[in-house]
Amino acid sequence: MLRERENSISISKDINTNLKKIKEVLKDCDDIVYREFTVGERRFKFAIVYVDGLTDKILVSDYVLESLMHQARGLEPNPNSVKNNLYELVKNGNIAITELKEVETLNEAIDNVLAGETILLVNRYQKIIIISSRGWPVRGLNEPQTETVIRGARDGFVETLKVNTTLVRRRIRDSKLKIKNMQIGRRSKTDVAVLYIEDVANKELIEEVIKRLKTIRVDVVLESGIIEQFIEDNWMSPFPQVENTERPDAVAAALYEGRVAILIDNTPFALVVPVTISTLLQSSEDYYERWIIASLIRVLRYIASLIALLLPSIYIAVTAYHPGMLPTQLALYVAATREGVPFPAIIEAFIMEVTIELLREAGMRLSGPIGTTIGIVGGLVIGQAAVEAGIVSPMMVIIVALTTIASFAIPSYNIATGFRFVRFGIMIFSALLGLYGIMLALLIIGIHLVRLESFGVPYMSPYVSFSETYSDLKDSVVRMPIQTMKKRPRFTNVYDKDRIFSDSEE
Amino acid sequence: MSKFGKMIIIFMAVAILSGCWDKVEINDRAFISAIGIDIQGHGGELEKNKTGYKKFIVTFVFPNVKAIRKGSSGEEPRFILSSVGQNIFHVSNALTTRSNKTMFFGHTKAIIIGEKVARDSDSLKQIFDEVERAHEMGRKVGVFISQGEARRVIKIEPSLESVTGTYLSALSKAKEKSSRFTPKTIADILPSLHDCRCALIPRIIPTDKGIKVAGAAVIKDYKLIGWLGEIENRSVMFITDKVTSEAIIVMDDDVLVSYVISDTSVSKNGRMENGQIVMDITVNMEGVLQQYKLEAKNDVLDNKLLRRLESLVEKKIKSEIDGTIKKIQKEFEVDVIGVAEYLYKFKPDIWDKVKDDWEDVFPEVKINVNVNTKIRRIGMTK
Repeated sequence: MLRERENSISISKDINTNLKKIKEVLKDCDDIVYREFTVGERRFKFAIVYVDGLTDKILVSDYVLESLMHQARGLEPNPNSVKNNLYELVKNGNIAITELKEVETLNEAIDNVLAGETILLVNRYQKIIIISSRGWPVRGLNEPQTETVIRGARDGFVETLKVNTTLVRRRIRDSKLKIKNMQIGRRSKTDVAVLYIEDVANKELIEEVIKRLKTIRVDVVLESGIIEQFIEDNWMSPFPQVENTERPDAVAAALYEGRVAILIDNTPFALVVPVTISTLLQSSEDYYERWIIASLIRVLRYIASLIALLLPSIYIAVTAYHPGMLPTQLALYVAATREGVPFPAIIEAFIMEVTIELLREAGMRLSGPIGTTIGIVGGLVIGQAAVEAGIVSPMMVIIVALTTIASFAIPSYNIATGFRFVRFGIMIFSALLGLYGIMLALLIIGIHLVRLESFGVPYMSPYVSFSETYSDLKDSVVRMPIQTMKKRPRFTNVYDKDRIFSDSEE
Repeated sequence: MSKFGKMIIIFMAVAILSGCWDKVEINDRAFISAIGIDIQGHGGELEKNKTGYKKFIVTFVFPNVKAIRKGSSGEEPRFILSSVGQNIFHVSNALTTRSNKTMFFGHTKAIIIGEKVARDSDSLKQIFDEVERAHEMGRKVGVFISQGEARRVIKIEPSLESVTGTYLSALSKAKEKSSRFTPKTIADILPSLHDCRCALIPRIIPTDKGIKVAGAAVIKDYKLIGWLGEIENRSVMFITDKVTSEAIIVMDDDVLVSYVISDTSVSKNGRMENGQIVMDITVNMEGVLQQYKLEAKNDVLDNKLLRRLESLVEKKIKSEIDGTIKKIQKEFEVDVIGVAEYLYKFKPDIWDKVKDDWEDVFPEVKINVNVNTKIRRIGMTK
């Protein structure tokens, strides 16, 4: 309804009418600045409108107002030509700004004002000039907080879309890198850019991404997470089907792999699709380190995933159902540590898990030093006291702590949270049925995972559909030397398959 | 209803309807470490109860986990429970009335069979059948036959490790240094019993200072028929190529020579000669001269001396093995040295002729033993 009403506003010849209409639409918006002024001896009427704070004021006053009000006065134009073609004259000759646009409806002009542009209204003309003057406080390029690396670029995305696309463009000096802009959110009108490399990425994938983005019907997009939830394949799944990253180099690498990135204004988190379980366990650093070390860390990460998923369940199952599986001395030791603990292992595990989750949540909400204190108090003091009081066994504290550490070793935070959720389910199964229950739970998860897709790509790739993607195994649990990875990964069905070429092809 | 919903219901049904029937928290279990089996009654005559079944006295020993905990002192290190019943698990069920813990046999290390039980073939058959069927117990449980009553062995608290089963299993693992007994598990004994109704089972002797495992009990037709001593057991191990390390002491004039075997290999050859089976068994061994004597009149660097020492060792071992073979062939008449197995595997034509009356043929088999010794290292020299 809002949109329909706006669409009907057209530009009238009278500048005062236009201003009145704008003021009517932007009623009670006290951050809008209206500046009317006259130019020349003939007193042509002009007006600029912009949002205070979103606009680079110095730019507007130095290169728009200054040149129109002062320098234009010095010129002695042919009065007739001025009179007849004032608009063209102003547009082409008097505004020293690199980017100018013009619009023919008032609502478009208002949209641009709200986006941070300055609009220039000229009396007696039915067009409005949009002066590109966006300029608001931008956070400096800091190292991403959630994805720190030891070796690798230190710049991370910021909250401004243009800065972010620049960061990617700097890494891909290729005319085939396409950046498609669109707006999502009926009210927020958030700028969204879809990035892909035209002759690498699969065309159907690009079309699918754009199609899904276009079908989003929502009024506000505050963060990439909202878009992620709208475009993911299966919103019931605990596993993320869209990757998010703060690292421009990760986005660039993904683009070179034939994937598509979605950058959203107002958030430093970019989305990358499609994902597989193997890409979620990759870190950009894997490719910067030498392959032996990178492979070792990869293997470690897969082990960490298994620990994060299974360790408490295995402990519960083995101690309550299959103590014969432990070495005798260990079995006796575990029995000794559990002597006098009033709860069954599952309750004990839940108590500790809930405590850890509380600590994690509390530590996250609090700033640096207080968060650390919470960690120490929680981890050391409560853990120690609980063990001494005999409420939980020391083994359980070790198990739960190890599980938590393992879940932090997974580079992608959102798959780690997925594992965290699934872990509780497996724990219940293991408490009910022992190892048999764990196997049942793993079967359910396995069935779900092999059915899951991310933008048409099997989630378990390259561990499924070997015939097509077996070569992707080079970059899975291990990362083979870069020399051997001559082709791009095949799971995205890339168009240009070669990554390493010989001199003759140059 | 969606497929997903149906799936959830099926899985929840599986989980909830079956429940946690098998669940026992680890601290509520008694980890039975060793089981001792004796027969009730006195003297040679075995008593029978009303139903006609022999009654066993079964003794269980399990560690007190409280004593394992750090900083605990004054706790009894182990508990012993004992009762009378028809078989092991019958007794363990009966004992639930006297114990707050569920007995768990997954970590059982040893079954000790009393001498009287072993001398009665019915009892031994019953026990091995039960052990073979039991899913509660692993197949790597060590089996021992005690001289005297098994519960006497269990009641002795070994000074190095208070829990009998753990002690015996550690002892069996450390056997590399000694050939005084051959550790045997259920998995070793049952096939042997099924094949020839015979077996060698290590002997366990209760002493005042502790318990000692040495020698072997000879089982024939599911019955204990005699004992092999420590040296005899070593001879059997030489023939069956199980010796990994062993010290041999010989006298060279007035010098005590110690020779430590580091490696042995055995080659066997069987043939028919004048209607009699002849077995040639050659034991080759390598070893180290461990001890001679400082300032002795002979120089160990002298090759002749080494050859002489080698032949001394050869002679000693050969005579030991010959004696043992004679005992096994003539006294026990039981093939525990694997002649039948060799013939079956390598000389099927001979085996086909004798397999039906092997028990009569075996005592008549001519066994020639050769021993070759090599002194590889003599240690430090001047």
